[in-house]
Amino acid sequence: MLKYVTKRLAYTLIVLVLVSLTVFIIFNFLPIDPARLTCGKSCFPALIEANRHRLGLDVPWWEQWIRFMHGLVAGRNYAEGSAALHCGAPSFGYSFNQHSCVTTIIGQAFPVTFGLAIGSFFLWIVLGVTLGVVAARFKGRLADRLATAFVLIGTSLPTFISGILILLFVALKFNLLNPIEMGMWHSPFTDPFGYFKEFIFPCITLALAYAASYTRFTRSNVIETSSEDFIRTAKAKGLSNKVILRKHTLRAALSPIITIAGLDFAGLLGGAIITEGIFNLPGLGRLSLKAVLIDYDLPVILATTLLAAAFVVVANLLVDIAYAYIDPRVRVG
Amino acid sequence: MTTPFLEVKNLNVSFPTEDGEVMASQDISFNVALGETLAIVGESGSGKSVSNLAVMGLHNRARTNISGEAWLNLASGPVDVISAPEETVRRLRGKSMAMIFQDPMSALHPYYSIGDQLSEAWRLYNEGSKSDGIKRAAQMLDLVGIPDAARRVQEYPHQFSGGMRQRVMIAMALINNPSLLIADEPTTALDVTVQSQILQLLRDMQKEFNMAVILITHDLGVVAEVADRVNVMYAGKIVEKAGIDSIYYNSLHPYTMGLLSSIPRVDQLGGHRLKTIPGQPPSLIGLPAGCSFRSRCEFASNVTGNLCATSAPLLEIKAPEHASRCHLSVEQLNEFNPSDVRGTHK
Ligand SMILES: Nc1ncnc2c1ncn2[C@@H]1O[C@H](COP(=O)(O)OP(=O)(O)OP(=O)(O)O)[C@@H](O)[C@H]1O
Ligand code: SF4
Ligand SMILES: [Mg+2]
Repeated sequence: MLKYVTKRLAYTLIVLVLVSLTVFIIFNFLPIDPARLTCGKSCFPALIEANRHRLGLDVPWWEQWIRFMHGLVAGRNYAEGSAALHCGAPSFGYSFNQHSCVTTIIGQAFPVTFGLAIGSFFLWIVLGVTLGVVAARFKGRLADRLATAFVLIGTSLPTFISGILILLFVALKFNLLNPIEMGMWHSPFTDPFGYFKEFIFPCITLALAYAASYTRFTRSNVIETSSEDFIRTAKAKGLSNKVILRKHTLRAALSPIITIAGLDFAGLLGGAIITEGIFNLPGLGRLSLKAVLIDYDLPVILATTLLAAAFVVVANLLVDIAYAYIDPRVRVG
Repeated sequence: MTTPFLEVKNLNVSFPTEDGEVMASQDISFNVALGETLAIVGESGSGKSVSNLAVMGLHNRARTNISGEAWLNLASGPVDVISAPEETVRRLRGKSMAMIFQDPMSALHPYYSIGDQLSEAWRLYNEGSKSDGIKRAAQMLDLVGIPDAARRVQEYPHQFSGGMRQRVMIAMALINNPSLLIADEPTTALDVTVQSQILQLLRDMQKEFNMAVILITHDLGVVAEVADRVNVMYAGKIVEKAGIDSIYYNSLHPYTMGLLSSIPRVDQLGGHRLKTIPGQPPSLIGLPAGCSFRSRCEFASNVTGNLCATSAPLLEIKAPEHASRCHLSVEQLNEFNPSDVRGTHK
């Protein structure tokens, strides 16, 4: 098991390095000159070149990559002399657009996205798995039909519609959310109720979209597992249906969900662009969107892209380790 | 004669489907006594598993039509597992009757260790801690001939070979000392060399536990070594029922004769061509009137009045302890019996 984890860890590090290299190469070939973007219409070539140097963009892409990696580990200085700026480790770069270290910017946005991701994850797992199991147990009956209807609605309704519907016809209509307060940060520690009010609707929006596919997945997995030979063996032993479902069927049927859930959660950590947009939540999704569409804030885009990729890669590692823990066929060769 | 442990009477099992009702088992009656082995033989789809799963109560009652009786003569009194409440039957499973299946590769839960799975079975009917259960599991593994049992209880199914897994299945089935063991093609999925070891083990275990054993197989060759009596099934019905020797040397049914002549025999050297029965068994949905075997029977024309096509033969006693479902007379059947393919009479 330890050997397996070490191996997967090394492999993950390599993938992370490759991912960051790829992102750097892509950014190098973007038809946008970030130095040109540092000043407005009044730009003149010498200033652009000076800024290029300050941004560290006057060296080849691979050297930029090395500096970036070094900055991640050891922090980094941007510009020189009296204008010098320091961003402590882990430094994701400096946004001249926002006059702030990218790490600081992300540090503000990430808790929002994280709260959204955790909240909706919890909701959709509980809802999706419960509905799926109930639907499978009462296959063909009313409960199953209702679950199927839920799956249909959930999978066909995109979040930009369900989100707006929830916002307009639930949150605002019943005065559950104050439109002026939307997007203001409520600390979960000092103002748990405000935090809850702010997050519950976007969490429900996301959870509905995900729960539908988890319901379908759980239902089909439970039904499929129920016809496995080892379930018949469990019955032949004399176990009760309850024990068979809990100990034998669900154990086998739900394990694959870990993989999907891990990756879905990691994807959400990168930012839920639409939902954050609708509910005016200042998370990573909105940060990226603004950086891409409005500010051309390349250091921020670079950082959020890398982070989103890193979340998925790390999630893959964690999922594999969890799976090895659950499935002896992976754990013991 | 002692009372049999299991008495199946007029058991019918059918499955309603969109295409019609699948008559998987019809009019099944048989007995098995403690210490006795009954073989059930027949082609794939003849209803061997379906009828025995009904005895075990393993059909989904909501989606299966079952009628008839199956009495277990327990020490506490007889119980009809067909009409008994589901919960009563569940509490007999694993304790009074146990079953092992064809494919040992998929019959064990991949996520639990062998010890866990055996101990779970034991603890269902015994007071004891989990470690007691694991100890008991190791004893059972040892009994069924798994070397290094104390260590191997901790291992998982995928670490065992097919033959070893079938031993594990046998150990698990026997852990609560059941009176009836139903073995549904226990060797079909295994290598030939392993097959005979498993059969030998079943025989040893039967002696050890004094069980009634039902051995389901489609291989009449297997039956000779282990069974006391044989039921031959065709298209959901028992077509012949007799002691092992009567079946082998004096079969009274054209289908059994066909099966027998397709067994390779060591005493017939020199290019004797094996016969197989041409044709396919009929669909079990909307079975035609008459004998189900008619379309494949060589001798149907010998029955007067086209009876084979119009009237279904009954399972009749045609000789002592020997029943057959055929319109032909015993004399005709004896005449048609191709004794040459079966070697000499005893
Ligand atoms: N749940 C079910 N629904 C519909 N038909 C079924 C069902 N279970 C079994 N059958 C049908 O019943 C018939 C008898 O099946 P059974 O499994 O008893 O055959 P078998 O003699 O055990 O054959 P094999 O040697 O292949 O195991 C088959 O035609 C099968 O397709
Ligand atoms: S009843 Fe007729 S068709 Fe059926 S086995 Fe006998 S002879 Fe053949
Ligand atoms: Mg079968």
